Amino acid sequence: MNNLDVILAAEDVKKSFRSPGGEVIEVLRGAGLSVLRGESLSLRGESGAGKSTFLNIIAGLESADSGAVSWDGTRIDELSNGRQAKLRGDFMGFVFQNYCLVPELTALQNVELALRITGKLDKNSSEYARDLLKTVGLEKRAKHLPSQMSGGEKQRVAIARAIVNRPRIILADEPTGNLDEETGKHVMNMFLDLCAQKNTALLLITHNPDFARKTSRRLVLKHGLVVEE
Amino acid sequence: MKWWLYIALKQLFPSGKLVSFFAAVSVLGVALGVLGLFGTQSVMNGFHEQIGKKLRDTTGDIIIRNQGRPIYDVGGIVARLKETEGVKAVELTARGPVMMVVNNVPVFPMLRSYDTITQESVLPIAENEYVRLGSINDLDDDSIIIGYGMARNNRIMVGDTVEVFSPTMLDKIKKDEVPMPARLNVAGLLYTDYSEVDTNVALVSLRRMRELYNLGDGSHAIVLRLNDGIDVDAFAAKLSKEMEEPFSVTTWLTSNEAFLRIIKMEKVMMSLIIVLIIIVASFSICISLYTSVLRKTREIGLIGAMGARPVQIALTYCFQGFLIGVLGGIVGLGLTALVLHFREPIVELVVGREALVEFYHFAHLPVKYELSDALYACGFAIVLCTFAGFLPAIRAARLKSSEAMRNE
Repeated sequence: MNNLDVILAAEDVKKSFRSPGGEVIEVLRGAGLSVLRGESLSLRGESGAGKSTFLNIIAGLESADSGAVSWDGTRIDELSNGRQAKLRGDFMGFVFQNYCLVPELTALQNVELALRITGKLDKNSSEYARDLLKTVGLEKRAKHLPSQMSGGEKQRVAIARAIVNRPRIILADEPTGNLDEETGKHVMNMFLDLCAQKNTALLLITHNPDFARKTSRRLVLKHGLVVEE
Repeated sequence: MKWWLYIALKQLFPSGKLVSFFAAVSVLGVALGVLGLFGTQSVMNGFHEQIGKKLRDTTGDIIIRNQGRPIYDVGGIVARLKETEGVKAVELTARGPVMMVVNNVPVFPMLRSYDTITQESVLPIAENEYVRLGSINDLDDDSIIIGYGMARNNRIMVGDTVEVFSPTMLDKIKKDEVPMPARLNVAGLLYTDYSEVDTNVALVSLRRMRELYNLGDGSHAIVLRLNDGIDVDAFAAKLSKEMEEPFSVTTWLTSNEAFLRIIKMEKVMMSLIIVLIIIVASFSICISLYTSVLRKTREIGLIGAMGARPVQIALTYCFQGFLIGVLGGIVGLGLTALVLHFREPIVELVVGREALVEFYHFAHLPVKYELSDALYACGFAIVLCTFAGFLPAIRAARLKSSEAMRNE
């Protein structure tokens, strides 16, 4: 593995919380991983194992007690909050279980929002956003509000939004958790295909072993450590 | 367009809708506050201006007196004053209370002279057509023009005869003489639309007034009317220095100082009370925006994760408050113009015209718009609404994306 191919690396990440009773709970005890350009990884683990906490730490949304996280070789703990936010907007996309679409915006406007926030919205990028909606099968829903769409459609909009900035990696936390099995399968297949097509790395947190099997590497978070399955 | 501006606009004016319910209600609340504030100020300005105008029109600008005593041989002073720059008219006047008997009912009007010989008056009687059902030209030594309100209250008609007793007739009573009242024909009605005058004042010729008050060829005061735009106070101060003892110079402003101050005070007090409406509206906006932040916690968290900085997230909510203030202000000014345009039927319906006449001496509600009041009302609304957005903005900016997205 060439170091230049590693786009995201987390080393020896530790994180503990204090329970209301004062008890210290060590969630991450030196977890680490590295993600190569364009590869897809799945991360599984029991509920409460710390998957979402680990994802937040490698996304720079939460700080670790110790350890290091790098994006394209840049240590994110050495960046100011503003610089980190800007870099994150360019570097990664997010897909969450509960879609997190802005209810006042149409599907297309929700996708374009990611471009607006990173200051990349122009005629070409707007066209690209439309193309992405077409790719996820929602070209006829471009002007529909989230309230007028089904759960599967909302999640496809969220996927298009995550990918529209051409990020190096997408972090997805249970993206099909709110969908029925059939829709979940359809959305996940489309998601994986799209990431492969765009050469975007994917870190997928999932409980579903079938979805995990579709990724190129499968990891498990167990006892605060990340291990290969 | 900045993304935070875009989101703020979209939250107020969502796609597929003209305006959100929150925005519509908030803007309306602020607009009503601005209507209350600007409307009250405009009406009070109108009262102030109209009362000022009526006071000037019915008393003149500057009054020169001789410490309450009659003035004699002032032809030279009058001639000099007429030549003075800025002076529109100079009039020798006599004025005082009398008892008027009509249909065996005594009435106590304030009698004022009008020089029927020269027809020079500081009062714009002919100009403003203050005399109804007759003319000022019909006034002679044997006639009287009576205030419209007084005539109405006492059922006096044009053509009726009234008997007038002056205070100087008391001297005759002291000498055991029988005072003979002046029998005067009602030649017209004085209608200035200022009930203080219309219910209290009657006009007679200067010669008749001199006779009633035993003035000979004297008068009670020299009254000046100045050209519009002249600073009355400055003119009076200058004149005061030029006038020799025992003359004193007063202006319509100083003569009515207490009354005018009450009107001003009333404007301030009413504005202060109505300001509370805007404060209440801004609290409602604050609560609504805060609720919106709580409701949108996950979306705010995601926007933060997508690269938005806390200050930009805060601006989204501050701008919403600001925009509501701006729109509320504009709509409020429009509503004020609309409501005040239809003020007559509204006043008739709400308080009745009699109340207006009784308390403010006007039959019509006067209005005067001032730009400074409009700016004050709008500016106040905008500042308060922007502040209303601060608390939600701070809450939104402090949200940690990691925690926000876990929010249930």
